Amino acid sequence: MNAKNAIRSATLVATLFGVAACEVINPGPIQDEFLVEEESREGLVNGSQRRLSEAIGWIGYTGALVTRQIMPGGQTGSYGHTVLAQGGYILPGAYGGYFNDAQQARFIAETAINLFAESEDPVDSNVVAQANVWAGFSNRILGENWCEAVIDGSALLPGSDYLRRAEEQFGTALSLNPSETLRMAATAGRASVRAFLGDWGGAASDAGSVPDGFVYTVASDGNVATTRNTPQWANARTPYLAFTMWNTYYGPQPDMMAGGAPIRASGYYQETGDPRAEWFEDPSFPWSNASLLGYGQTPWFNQTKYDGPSDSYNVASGREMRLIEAEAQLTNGNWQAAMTIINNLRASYTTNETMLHPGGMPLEPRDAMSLEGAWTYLKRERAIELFLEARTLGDQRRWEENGTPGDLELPDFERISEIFSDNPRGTEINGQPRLCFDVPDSERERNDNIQTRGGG
Amino acid sequence: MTNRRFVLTTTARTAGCRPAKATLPALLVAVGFLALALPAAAQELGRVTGQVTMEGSGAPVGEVQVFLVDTGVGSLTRQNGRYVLLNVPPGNYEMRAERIGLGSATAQITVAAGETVVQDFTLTEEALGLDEIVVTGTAGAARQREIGNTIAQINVAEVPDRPVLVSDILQSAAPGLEVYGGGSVGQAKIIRLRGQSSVQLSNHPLVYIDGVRMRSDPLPDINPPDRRGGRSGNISVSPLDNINPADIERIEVIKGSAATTLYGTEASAGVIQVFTKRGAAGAPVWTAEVKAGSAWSRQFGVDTPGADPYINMGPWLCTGPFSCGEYHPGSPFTLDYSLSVRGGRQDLQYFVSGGFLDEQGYLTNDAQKKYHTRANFTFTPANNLTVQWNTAYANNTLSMTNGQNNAQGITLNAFRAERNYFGTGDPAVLNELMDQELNQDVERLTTGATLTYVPLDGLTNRFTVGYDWTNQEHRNLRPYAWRQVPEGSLLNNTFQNRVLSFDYVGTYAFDLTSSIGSSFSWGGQATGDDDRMVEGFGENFPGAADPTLTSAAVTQAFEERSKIWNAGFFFQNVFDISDRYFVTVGTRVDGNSAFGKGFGLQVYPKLSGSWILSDESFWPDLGEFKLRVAFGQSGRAPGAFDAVRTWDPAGLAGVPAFVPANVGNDEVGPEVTEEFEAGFDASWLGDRLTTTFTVYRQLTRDALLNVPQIPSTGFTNSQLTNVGEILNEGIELEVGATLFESRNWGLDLGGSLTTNHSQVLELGIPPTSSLRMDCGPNGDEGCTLRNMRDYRVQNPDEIAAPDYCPGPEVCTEAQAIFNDHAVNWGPNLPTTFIGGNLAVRAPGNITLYASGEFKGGFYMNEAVWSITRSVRSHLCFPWYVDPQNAITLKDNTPAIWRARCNPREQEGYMWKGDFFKLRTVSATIPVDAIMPERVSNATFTLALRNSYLWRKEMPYMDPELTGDQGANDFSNQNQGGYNFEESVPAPITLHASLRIAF
Repeated sequence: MNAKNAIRSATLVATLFGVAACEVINPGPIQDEFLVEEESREGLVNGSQRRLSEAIGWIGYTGALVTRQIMPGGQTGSYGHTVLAQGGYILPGAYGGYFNDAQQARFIAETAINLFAESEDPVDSNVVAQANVWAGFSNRILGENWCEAVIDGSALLPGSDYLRRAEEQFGTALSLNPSETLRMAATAGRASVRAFLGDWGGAASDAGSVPDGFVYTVASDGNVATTRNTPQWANARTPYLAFTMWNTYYGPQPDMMAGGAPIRASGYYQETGDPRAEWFEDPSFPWSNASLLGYGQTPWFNQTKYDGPSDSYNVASGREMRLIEAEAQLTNGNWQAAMTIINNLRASYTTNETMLHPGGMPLEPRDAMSLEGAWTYLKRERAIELFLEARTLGDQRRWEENGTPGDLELPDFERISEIFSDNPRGTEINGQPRLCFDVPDSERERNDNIQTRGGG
Repeated sequence: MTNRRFVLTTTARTAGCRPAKATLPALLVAVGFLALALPAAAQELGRVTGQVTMEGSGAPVGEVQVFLVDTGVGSLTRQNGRYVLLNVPPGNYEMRAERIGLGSATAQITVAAGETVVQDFTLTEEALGLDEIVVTGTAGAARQREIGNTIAQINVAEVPDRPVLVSDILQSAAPGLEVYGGGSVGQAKIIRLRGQSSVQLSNHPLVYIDGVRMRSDPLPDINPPDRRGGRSGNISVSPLDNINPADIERIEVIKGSAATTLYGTEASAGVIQVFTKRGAAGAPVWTAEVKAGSAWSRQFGVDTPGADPYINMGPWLCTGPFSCGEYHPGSPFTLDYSLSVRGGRQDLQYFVSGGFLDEQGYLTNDAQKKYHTRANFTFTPANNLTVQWNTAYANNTLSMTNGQNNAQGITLNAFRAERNYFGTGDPAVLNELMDQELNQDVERLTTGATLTYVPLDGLTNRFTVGYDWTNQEHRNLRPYAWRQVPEGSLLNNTFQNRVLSFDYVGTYAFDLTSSIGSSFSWGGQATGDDDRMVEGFGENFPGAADPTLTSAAVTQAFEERSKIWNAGFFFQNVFDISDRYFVTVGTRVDGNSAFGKGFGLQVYPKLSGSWILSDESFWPDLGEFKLRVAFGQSGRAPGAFDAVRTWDPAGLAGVPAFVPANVGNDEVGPEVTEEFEAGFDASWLGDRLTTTFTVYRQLTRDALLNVPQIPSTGFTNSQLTNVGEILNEGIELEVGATLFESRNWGLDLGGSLTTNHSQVLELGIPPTSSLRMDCGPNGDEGCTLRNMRDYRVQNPDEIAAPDYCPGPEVCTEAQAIFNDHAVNWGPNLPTTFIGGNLAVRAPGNITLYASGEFKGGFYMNEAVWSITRSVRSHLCFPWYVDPQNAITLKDNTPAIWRARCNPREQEGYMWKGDFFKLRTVSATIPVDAIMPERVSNATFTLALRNSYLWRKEMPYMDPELTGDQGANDFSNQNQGGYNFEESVPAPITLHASLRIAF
């Protein structure tokens, strides 16, 4: 062996092993460049729906606690809420996951819109319209549930910017002359954001072109945790029994003289048989999981709106359009006309048989005596119609901030536990209590255009 | 003679052709053939007998290899030091006696026909073993004296308590080597070398076996997709623990980057290399061992009146070797059988073994059956060529109890009593949880061949190719009509890992001058690590029959695959000056398929030196003394997808969907750790006192941290980025002393002190909610890894509401939170380790041994059993007005207990985690005397492990638990944390072992 041979061997080894770490392409996740392929377009657009589904599920679930549509059972871990959130308080800076889902739904749809615009090949107008419809509903959920907007790393903007963006995207979808279903969805979507923005003329005009029976949904998928119907799963004995309808407006009322024992023949559902407010109990599972702080285990009564993990969420419907028309009438002071619309809507439902109602008949009309009374019924009717659809928090905020007459008829949670009196509903934005989510710390901490809470 | 050679060769080929299908019966047949092949031809023969003793004391030495050089005739000494070589052909021989850790001795003998030669040997203990050959971390091989870093060697024959698991052999075996967690049957333990220097990548050391890279991290803890239908047993199985300890000759451990540079990327957490037994020329030596034992739980609840010392787990638990709850199938047991044979000729030597472990755990559904086989062959076709081929197969079938943080598990529901997911603490109701079947079937095959070719004097070429294969089938059945999933569900997850490795090392040794030698080495390694997971999930069965996935009305399938190749080359030169000054300089260059395209190659340099001070003329005759110093770098690779911007194909309700996954980082490279270590190895007082001291400092400059992205820009997942800087430092001191030694009696005492402190020097970005060390408003820089931060009750003994504010101000918890009055308590990982061991040798060579370990300098925040859910905490029973029914506190409750027992506050649960454990108490008794003469060695061992626990502050539980973070959770800075959420501590075990060689 001489030095020459040693060097030769060493060089050979270096060459062999230096090139050995060649590029490895692993299957599964796909790289950016494949998104421009024609075959990827539908999947990309549908990605927005997937994230929107996740956002609606969780925002709707937490929003229902804050708006007191459901009563917490005390669960704090999986599919539960912190004690603060159970009380109705939205911790400033929290809920980054909800924000991520909604932002990603918006981002995916808007990415698709931009890719389609840049495409040299023609893109099916229905696919483009679909991307705009999902972008619109994504911006709507952001605008209805967050008081402030951030778009693509921007500074803080008014929350209404999301809604104006949504209005434009629904309008773009309509301009593409899409299928009838997409046209209805875009019209109904635009009506809802125009209503939120206070454009009652435009809202009523759009709403008027959507028939009663139209429903547009976002799919859920019970086979995948992230997309299964969240409120359903949280109470589906999986093993979670995280909330209850007991002590809500709809459910059995507590007998406070008997430690809160449920009075089964009580509450809105028993009184009216309204199928939208149905609940049930299961003798095998009399109690919610865990224990509500300050009270103990709560009697478990479950909702029936969602009875399977793949139940879809409504994002637009003709029934909501009727309520927009009614609200437009109320805004103009025409409370009798509004009540007519509301009661016609109610009459379209056939009641269930309950302990207090024979069932099998049209849902009884409401009998308002004043503008304020009509507003109260309108607010309740929207809460029932849009139950667990991530809409009610936004409704309650705009009504409160617009000084709208009428009563929300919030159930008396405070009699059950001090966590409800200790934790004011909603959050604080710039020191002011507001019924919405705060831009989360995950955005504030990484976005140089926004101050962190505390001013850093 | 010809026939004998033919049979040997044929047998070797047969075993080698079908390694993957080797079974215990087939192995035993092969072993039988080997044994039958070896009787010598009939002729008048002689015999050699004698005794091996220690120099000085004259104490007998067992397990010494005594053999006639170049003949294939040899034997092991009994525990009384005696040996017999039968059937020795007449002639002149060179005879040798040797054992790891002791010097060898040689004698010339002449054997005459029909006569007996008596030849005794005296061996000298090599206190420091400066001339012992070590392999791990060196280029090829090196003598201890040449190496600038510390390297721990564990001679398994000297481990006194004959553990059933390899991880138990490693526990407390060397300073800086920490083994903890685990406890359930088959559950992997966490292994750390010099603590933790990575925040978000694996801190588990690389593991090699006989030069072949094997899967190092524990296997995945499989849970149903999206955890639907409930979690599993929360058990990660350790590949390391699927090696039969009886097959192991020794283990080498190198602990940091100063020593692991030549392993390059992925080696900065250290390297453990296992060396299994090889054949030895000589008549076949059979070794059989039977271990039998039991395991039971120590008390982990509190003694408070009315409380359950096992926190309601009694019905499913054994609390003594013959004392089990009504829902436990019976006494827990361990039965471990192993049989091996080694022997061969000069040109072909073999070691073949098989084993079977049968175990019923101390928890109701914990059980396993494990089979091992191994065949190692050494073939020397020419004087300058050796081929070593080792193959091992193990099959481990495991049944698990649904434990830990599992809503459908027994511990969570038992601990939470009536606040659980059944709404009742009634054991008869909860026992339905035991109807779940959580099973794992783990198969492992490791095979590798090493060719060593020495074409010229001084030139050595070594090439190793290895293949390590793991197949883990995890089956998780919630049967039909089971309470929480009435229509039943089934998960079947098959995970496979393949590690293919190539390793070439060339060394050319030559003299530069008459006093300066040079050993130049070069080489390269390539390792492909391939993970594949296929998972099926089904639910809604038509009836109660034993289902398969096909039986389910709804089925789903999932698949994940990833492959990473790492390849690199190195150059190294060792300068040897007068055999007492050594300087090593080298470098390693790596490429890795997970590096970003813009990153290129990573260069890792090393430089070390050693000085055998005791070889200097001025050094007084005190013993040996070696000074050493080393510097080196090595790394950890990012994940397979970290460099690339990707979208997840997700789907929604049967329609394809893409969602953003990874924003990508074209510049991502390895996390590079550099380490400086220095120290000395010394022996004093005629080798009766040994001391090893090391100080080390590890600095990770390019720490890979999961940097959060800006959510409104669409990619919401954090991106692994080289931004941080982590410091990890400490000392290691080990002392061994022979206090007394005579022919019949001996007393040895050992001790060690290790410290380890890690902190974040730079986070690289301002702390965020998801990337922070939780060190408070002053930032995370300078903060210890896994810092524990919480509120302190300032008036613990006052009969008043808890005051959480320091100073004269009094405040509630809510006010303290608002004003951020939390304090940094300290790390969650131990910073001080003190080990001790005592060995007493009594007449008859009976050895009594005890070892223990203290871990301290860390904190645990353990709010008792979900007290936020108003679970009645047994710890709070003394302060409840009506502990069996309500959580109302007495008026005279002190502030600290108001904080602990009020579910709204649940504060005051920060404890010092310091504890001491008696690891082992054992007796080793030679029983050769009662065995037939044919038996060369027989030893009976009785070992009690984990029998005593002292806790400094914690009033319950065993601090040395890791909850269900498991042994392979690298996420969220959780890895390796001490935490016992809803788990049952590791058991006390008692094992008896009988080992005979013949």
